[in-house]
Amino acid sequence: MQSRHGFGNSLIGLINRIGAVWVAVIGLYVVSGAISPAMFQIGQVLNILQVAAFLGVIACGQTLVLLAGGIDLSQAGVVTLVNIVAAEIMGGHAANIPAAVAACVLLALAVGVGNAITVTRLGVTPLIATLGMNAILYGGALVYTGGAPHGGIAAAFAGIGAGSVFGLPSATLIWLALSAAVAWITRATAFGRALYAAGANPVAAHLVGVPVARTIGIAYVGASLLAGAGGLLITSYIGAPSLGIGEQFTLTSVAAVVIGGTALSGGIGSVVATVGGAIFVTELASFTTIARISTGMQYVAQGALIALSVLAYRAVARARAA
Amino acid sequence: MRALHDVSFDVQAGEIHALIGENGAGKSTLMRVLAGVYQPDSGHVRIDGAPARLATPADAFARGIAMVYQDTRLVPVLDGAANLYLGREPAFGPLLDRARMLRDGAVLLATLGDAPDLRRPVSDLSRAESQMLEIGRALARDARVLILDEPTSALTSAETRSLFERLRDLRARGVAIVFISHRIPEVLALADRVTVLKDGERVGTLPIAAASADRLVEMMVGRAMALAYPPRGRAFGAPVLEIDGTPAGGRPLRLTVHAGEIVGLGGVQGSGQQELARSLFGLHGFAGTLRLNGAALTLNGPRQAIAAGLIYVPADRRGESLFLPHGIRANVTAAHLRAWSRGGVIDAARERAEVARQITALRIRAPSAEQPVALLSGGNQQKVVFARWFLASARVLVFDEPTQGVDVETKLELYRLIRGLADGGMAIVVVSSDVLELIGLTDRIAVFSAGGIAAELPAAGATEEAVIGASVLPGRQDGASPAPQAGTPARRPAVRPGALLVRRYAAPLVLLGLIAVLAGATAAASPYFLTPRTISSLQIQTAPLALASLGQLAVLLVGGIDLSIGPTISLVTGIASVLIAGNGSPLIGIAVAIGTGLLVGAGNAALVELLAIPDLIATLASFSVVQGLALIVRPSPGGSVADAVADLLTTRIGVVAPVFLVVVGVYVLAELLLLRGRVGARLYAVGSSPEGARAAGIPVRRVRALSYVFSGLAASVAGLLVAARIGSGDPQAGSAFTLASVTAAVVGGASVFGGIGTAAGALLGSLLLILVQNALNQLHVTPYWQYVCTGALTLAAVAAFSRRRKGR
Repeated sequence: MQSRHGFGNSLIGLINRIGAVWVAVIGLYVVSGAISPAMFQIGQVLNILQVAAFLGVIACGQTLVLLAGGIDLSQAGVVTLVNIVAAEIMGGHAANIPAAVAACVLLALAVGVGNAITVTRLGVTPLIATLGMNAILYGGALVYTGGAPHGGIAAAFAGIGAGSVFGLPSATLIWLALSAAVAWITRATAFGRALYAAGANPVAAHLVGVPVARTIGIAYVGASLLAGAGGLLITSYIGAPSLGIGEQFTLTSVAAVVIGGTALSGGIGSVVATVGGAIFVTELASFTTIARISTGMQYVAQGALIALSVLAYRAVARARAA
Repeated sequence: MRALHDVSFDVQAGEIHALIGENGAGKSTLMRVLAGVYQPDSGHVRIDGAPARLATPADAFARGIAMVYQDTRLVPVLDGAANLYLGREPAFGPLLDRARMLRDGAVLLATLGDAPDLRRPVSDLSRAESQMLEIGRALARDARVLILDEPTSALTSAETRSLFERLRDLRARGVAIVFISHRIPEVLALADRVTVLKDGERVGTLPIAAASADRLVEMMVGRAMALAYPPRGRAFGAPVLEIDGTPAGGRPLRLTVHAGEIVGLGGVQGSGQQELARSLFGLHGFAGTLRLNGAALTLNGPRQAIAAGLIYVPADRRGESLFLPHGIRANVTAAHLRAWSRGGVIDAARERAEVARQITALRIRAPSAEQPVALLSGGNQQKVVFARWFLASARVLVFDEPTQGVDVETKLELYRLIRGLADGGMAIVVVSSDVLELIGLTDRIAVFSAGGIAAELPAAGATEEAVIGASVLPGRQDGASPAPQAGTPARRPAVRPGALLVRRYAAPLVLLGLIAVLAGATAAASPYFLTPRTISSLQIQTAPLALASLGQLAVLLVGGIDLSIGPTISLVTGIASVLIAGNGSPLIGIAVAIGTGLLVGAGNAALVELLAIPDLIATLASFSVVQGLALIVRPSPGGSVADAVADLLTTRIGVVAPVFLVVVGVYVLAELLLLRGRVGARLYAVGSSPEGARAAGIPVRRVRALSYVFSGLAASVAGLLVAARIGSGDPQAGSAFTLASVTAAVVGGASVFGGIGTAAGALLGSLLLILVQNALNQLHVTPYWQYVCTGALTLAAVAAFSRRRKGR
């Protein structure tokens, strides 16, 4: 009993020092490496970081919305539509890159503003508002392509998502830079503080003069823009349009954020922890692939992890309060 | 906090026993122990001399103890009859005996006076009518002990007289009545005995013959002035805040606060003092003029009030003041985001310095400025709120119950701080239910009664008798009768049942119109639309979505959401393609499929109700798990469902698909149960008012859990129908159903906040969605538009309903 207690305490101590999600990331890495030594190869690590970048950028945006006490399930639709539109406009020509990127940014912006209006002005619950928006976007992608997407990216564009700088995947560097910027915004700016306040207690935020609706609205716009950025990155990496490309992110973006410890209730969590959450989700997918675990089992594990992490973070918070 | 200390209290059959005392004396706490809401740390309740354990309101009800709460516990969406009998309705099996409920209820309420129409939803009733209904409910349960908490606070004098007559009748019938009140004249007029509580202790019990108004006030007061209040202000400056007008729901009043002055607002809680305080911050309606330093000010919200230098510190610290998970620093800074930032970036050095200075100055005890305020004591939490506003350049500070839930030592510190602000030239308003605090801390006390100021007294030399007297004996001061807050409502004509049904089915009726228009337009444009084949396949397509929507509706009604419906359908198609494949009996496969649905539902129920994971994240997790299982059973579309079963479920007879008829039958049954069944009353009650449902003895968590199980069941049957239609298993077969089931229910009028919705609406919503798909097909528009339509319909419906309900 004594030693278990000691272990529990030191685990809590470790979690308090470096954050639960990083303990989980390292723990999973060690365990999966022990089972499949391929995980320890540097190439595999780089691959995980490369693939995590797409999820990471999108989940970074999801964090903003969850911090505001909402949820954005339309990110998947943004990714898909951006992928389709970018490939279509670019059509393989480098000269079209600026037009394609501009169109995608405008598209993401419009979706974000649409979500912001339905949630903060029309009073639609975030889940329904963004689920409805997601259906519109997915349908839009289908209608736009007639079910058969065409076009492709320019070779120059591929360098962004698939290239590398000093041996590190450039997508990863972009992801980390974006995350650092958003983390700084949430921690150091008046908007960031307003975001945490509006998420933790919208009534109290209103009573201390925080512009609650505007703050929450900006979070939705941010989530959509980052989903658009993630969509451009993944398009650059894959190189071709695909109607199914965004779907996975409906679940994984929420999973990465929740596993990072951001609470659905709003006002609790951090963008940096979401970086860990994105790595964890990707690491798990990579490990299950290497270990030849079926896609189905991956989904099962992911769902179980979402529920477990909610319970685990609650337990950690209680242990801390005690 | 200890609310009660060694209190003994007894009430006899055929007696009206009044319980009086100041705000916070412990009256409501004592009665909630009797009503099974709170458990005493020590002591016991005896009924007829035998000890009774009252662990829940249902226990108390079962023992014949009923409480009528000041804030009603009725379920607003249910009608009078349903509320009267909620939890123990007369019924034929699952169906309510409405005729008997209406008849018996009317007879019962007639003994109480002019009864409201029992077919009216409670949300339409006046406070007096609701109160009568609550008393009626207690009587309907043969209550032997009836506890009324401030029953006259919302009644006109005529209604009060009539209530008293009823209570006397009940007394004559042997009911024991506890009557909690602030109004001494009423107590003297009605009660047989009166018990006075003070600071959670019993001062004494008097037979009414021995009681007089002066004697009772004397017993309510007399607390030792133990606290050393800071010295009062000497010289006040110019008027800073001048109020001349009427807070919404109150009476016209005038009040001026000078620089350096502390003005206290006292009176029985709910007499209008808090409304006035909140109206200064734009949180409550106010008609009239407000002047700040002589300049007229129109308030439309906190931002503007703060900018003008007027600050309100709410009484509800946890609900309205603090960001509980955040640290002291963030809590303080939240009010100064703009002032402390340059170009949108917080000046972190200044922030740290300012907060550290306040932590020291106010002696906030915490390990660091980052300590989450949730972990601080009430006193330290309030100091954090003080620190927040000490850093603002305010001219007027309005404190609402500034020392509630704060220990004595900290109280003194807070008093000194408040006085220090006044001495610094600020104008201060303090709302307090603690009379001694008002006398000790303030310079002048405005005593509120019945929505207006009944008396204004200088605090120096004021006595408890004077303040309490002004608040509980309003007749003495201004000759007004006790509190006719609202005029007697004109008798409304009896409601026509047809009108209520139209209201219930407004959304479905609109849908019906939409469906007719859409079908007509499509038929006009396409000759192939009104063929038997199209009509019957429309039905076959609608059947599974309708079933899934019925499950979703059950969950929405109790205020939840089930995102796992789509994957469950996919999983069931997989199971069907494996187990209902050959020539053997399909029964095992069907049983496994339905068992799976039930298991998924039970899993959701466990996550949401047992592990208390928010419904959204819980069913998102099970969405993933079930989708995974679907992929394991059937990694890619394939297999085949036995023809016999597939044919049976997709048979058409002329223009009719029997399977659709069965689904419609299920819906008719569901609508009947929702409208007239015990199940319906429970679902609506749990979704609309969990508190009210609990007070009526309904097992709220079990009802919610069963809704999830039902949703799983409905999804599994829907999955079987999908499998029969596509003839194989497909791990993506159900993916559109999660959103479509929500859309169908919501377009049909269901609220995502629970308590509102009809089966008829969900069925028509499903039909509309399928019709849209088919119409697109017929009109040679790419079927991909269906996604766009579903999404747009969802948004439009939810936005329209949420606006309409906000407007009400």
